[in-house]
Amino acid sequence: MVLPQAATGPGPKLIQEGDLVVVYESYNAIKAVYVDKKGQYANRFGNFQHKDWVGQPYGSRVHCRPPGRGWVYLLAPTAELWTQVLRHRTQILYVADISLVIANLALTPGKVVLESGTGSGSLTHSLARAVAPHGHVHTFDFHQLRADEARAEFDRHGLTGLVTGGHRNIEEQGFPQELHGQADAVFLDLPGPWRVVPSAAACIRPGGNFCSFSPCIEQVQRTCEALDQHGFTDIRTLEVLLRTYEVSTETLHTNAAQTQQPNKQGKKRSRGAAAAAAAADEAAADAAAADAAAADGSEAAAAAAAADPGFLRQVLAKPCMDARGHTGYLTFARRFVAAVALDNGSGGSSDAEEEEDAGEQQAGVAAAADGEERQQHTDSAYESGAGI
Amino acid sequence: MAAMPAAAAAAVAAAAAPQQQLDTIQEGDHVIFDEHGEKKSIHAITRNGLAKVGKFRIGVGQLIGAPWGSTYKLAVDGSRLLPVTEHEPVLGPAVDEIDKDNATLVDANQRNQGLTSADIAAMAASGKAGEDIIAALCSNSATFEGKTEFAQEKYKRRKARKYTTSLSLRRPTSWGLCEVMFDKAPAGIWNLRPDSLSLLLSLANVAAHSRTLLLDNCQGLLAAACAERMCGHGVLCCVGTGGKAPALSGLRQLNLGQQQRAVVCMAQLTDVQQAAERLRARGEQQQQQEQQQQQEQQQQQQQVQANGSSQGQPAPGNKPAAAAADPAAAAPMAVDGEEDSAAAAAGGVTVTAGVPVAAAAAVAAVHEDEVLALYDNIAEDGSAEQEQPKKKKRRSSGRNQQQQQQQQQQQQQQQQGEEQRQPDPQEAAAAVGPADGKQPQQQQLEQQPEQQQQGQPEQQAAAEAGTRGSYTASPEQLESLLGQGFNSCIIAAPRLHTASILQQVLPLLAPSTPFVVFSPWQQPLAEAMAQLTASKAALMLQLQESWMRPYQVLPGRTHPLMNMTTGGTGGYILSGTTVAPAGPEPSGGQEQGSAGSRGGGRGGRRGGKRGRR
Repeated sequence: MVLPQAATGPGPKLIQEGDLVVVYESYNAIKAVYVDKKGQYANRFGNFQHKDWVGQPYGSRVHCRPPGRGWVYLLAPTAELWTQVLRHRTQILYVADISLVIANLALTPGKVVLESGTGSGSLTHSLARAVAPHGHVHTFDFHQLRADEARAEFDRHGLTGLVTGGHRNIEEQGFPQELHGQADAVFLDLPGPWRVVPSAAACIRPGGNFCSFSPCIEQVQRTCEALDQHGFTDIRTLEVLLRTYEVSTETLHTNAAQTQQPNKQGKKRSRGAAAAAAAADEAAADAAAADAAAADGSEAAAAAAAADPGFLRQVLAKPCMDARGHTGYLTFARRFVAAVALDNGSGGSSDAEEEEDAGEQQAGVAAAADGEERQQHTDSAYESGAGI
Repeated sequence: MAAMPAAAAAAVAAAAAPQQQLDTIQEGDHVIFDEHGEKKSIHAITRNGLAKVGKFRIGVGQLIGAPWGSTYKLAVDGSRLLPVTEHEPVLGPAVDEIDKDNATLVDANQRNQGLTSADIAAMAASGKAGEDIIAALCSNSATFEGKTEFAQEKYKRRKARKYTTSLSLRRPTSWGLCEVMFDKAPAGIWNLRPDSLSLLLSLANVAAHSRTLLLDNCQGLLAAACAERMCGHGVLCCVGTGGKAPALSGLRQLNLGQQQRAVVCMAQLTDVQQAAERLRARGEQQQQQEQQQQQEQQQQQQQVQANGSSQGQPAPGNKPAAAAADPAAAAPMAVDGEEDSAAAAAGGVTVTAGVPVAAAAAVAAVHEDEVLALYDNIAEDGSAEQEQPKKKKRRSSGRNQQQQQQQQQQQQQQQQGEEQRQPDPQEAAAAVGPADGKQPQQQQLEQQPEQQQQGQPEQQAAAEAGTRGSYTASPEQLESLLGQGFNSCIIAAPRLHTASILQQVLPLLAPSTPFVVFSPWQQPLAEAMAQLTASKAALMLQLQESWMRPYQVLPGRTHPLMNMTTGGTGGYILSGTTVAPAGPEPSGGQEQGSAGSRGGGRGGRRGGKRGRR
């Protein structure tokens, strides 16, 4: 239920008993709720009965029982929403790092990925989404209680069969023998990931990917050294952050010489809906334009004075004051693949630097002239033979 | 594999069969050339094609049969590709003490190097390996010994780049393809950087079984990335605007197989909107018919009771009851309509998520049974079926709904003697042939591995015609898709004014659908966000920018890269979630504060953000 599901009928998805629902009260308050026919949800605005929710489409606004007058929205869970509402048993990864991990581990349906440690299962849900429906996630945590709680969550969210949660100290014992050579990717979020590099090397197939997330640069250095020593290439480290902007409609004064009045007007109007204000602004502007067009001298002057209220309202974006400074460094690497001797050494000729452009065009012509169907269909400017 | 659950093992085996990813490069594949980890380009591997690697042109045909991910070194004269068969560590040893410095170093340029270019050329011609040439350069350099170990390594690395060419052959992924495009011609993809692309895919919840609505003006990069994540499950509707077909060249460049490309369908935005309109009109019509039927049925029942009871009740007495039932049924709709028109009058964005009107009224009705009754009456292709109001039942799972649908249809056949279409189960587990002419189109939208092998005539014809499995969606398919509801939406078409395009696209999405909009410019996204916040058409709105920085990690020399190779910007992303159209509220509903934008976590209530009720 947390992952996208095939449609089982026409019409939007309806809430059913046992479903996980993300209850949205306001932009600061969203919560995970499992729908139970006898369940109740209470907030400061009122009391909600779960059975009122069953059968509603996801995305509905539902009202609480009288005499309360409050409402909440019921949203369908996704891996991202789960990350925002899950109970933190450990520090978790957020969507910025998660999206980078999924992309750089090249996780697609059918892949097998190993994770340690499970933590609160934030990344695990995204890993499961990426490899569903026929891939697999093997995730391990060295803390028994956390491993159990994570496993219970996976089952409750319909991930059984896709995710196997284990209790194992990967730093001390490495990954289980039976996973050797089985993994397309390994992800580590551990205090000492360099200790796991040899085991990861044994588990990852040639051409597979490795990723380690570490807050400290010393951890990164030791991990990179270990990777280099154990058959990994293309080692790269980067960090990613999201900068969030807050958007508001603000009043800016256009006539600095004018007195306090515009301020008051501005303040009054800013309390109304931004949309209504915008519409009124447009109406005022139109009226002013019409007046100006039809007026003679004195009328025009008066209209002009009325048309310039001394301020304007704009939608403005500004970075949020609350900003993440650092989460961790992401180190990626690829499992070495041995090359094989090639058939015919039909190498090219060497070009001097000046002949570069001419050489490229010739290559382009030569390639195109082969009449390869795919070359002819090349409409991308990024491929060879198109004048790169 | 003993410890792996049997299901997982079977799943892995099954995965191998339909999606066999061969380990060696095949003719026709696209390959990302990675030179020294610095220069990346993408090439189609053809028998006679050529590609520029380093300073040389090589024939790419010889790469057929090379293992994916392997590395080759170009001979110094560029004549051969030599396989790298063993991994050698590249990071130097840790250095504790630095005892030298460049206090006495004089940069005399070419005079510091003893070998001339003629000497080097001679060495190359005599077949010396690149490493030997570099060693010779080092020993003939007047300043080499005086350099620190770090500087010596840097010197050797620079020479290596010049005299040896190392080529890694990488499998194209959405990240890798985006990297190449961002490096070579970022304007073509509107400066969409790989981390922004990955964020778009995650926020939009694109995965197997997604039904994604996509406006892609980034050379088909988004389409390819989505198809890669969906891997043959779900539907990817690539929407074109202004009569232009969407670009899909990226699909080829990711070496996506026919089954993976089969999720793609194309449509013009106007076609999708018209299909939605037809669906809405049918829903309204169906609801009117239902209300009529309800009235008639109640009248009938009361007449039957009247006739059956000893005290005959006068027939006209039934009418008030029927009349009373009618306004009650009509009331929710009326309130709904008022809300919409009120919203329109206020000039805000009026958005109704893609829920048929029948269902919208159902939202207003608290009684779950009526809701289920309405959904069960809508057949797969969205056409209404006349149906009696249903008996009470518990909440149904999807499977139950299918059964009930079939039961009802059987009942209906008996009652009205009309021929009914048997709906085909759309669940992944079912692998059945078409029941009637409409079904192949249905199944094409949701390709499952098993179904694919049964042969979809239209699909194969389209593929053979060279359109590679992407085809234009028919009106019926669009209606079916809209009926099921798009559950994911990505807009990466910066030339389209954001607020305007969202006004047109959001009504086409199912409620509680995550949507993302990408733009290299912040302003249009901010204005759209302000508008959506005010109209409460979407929740959890966020305007974000991704910042990425690569590091050099070397013993004793770890620091962020000096040049921002990742560019100063990767673009801005507006994200949000759609909501169902609001039903009638109890009188005096309470203001709970803005349902719109999310600040940086702790940002308090911003002045002026009291949303409209």
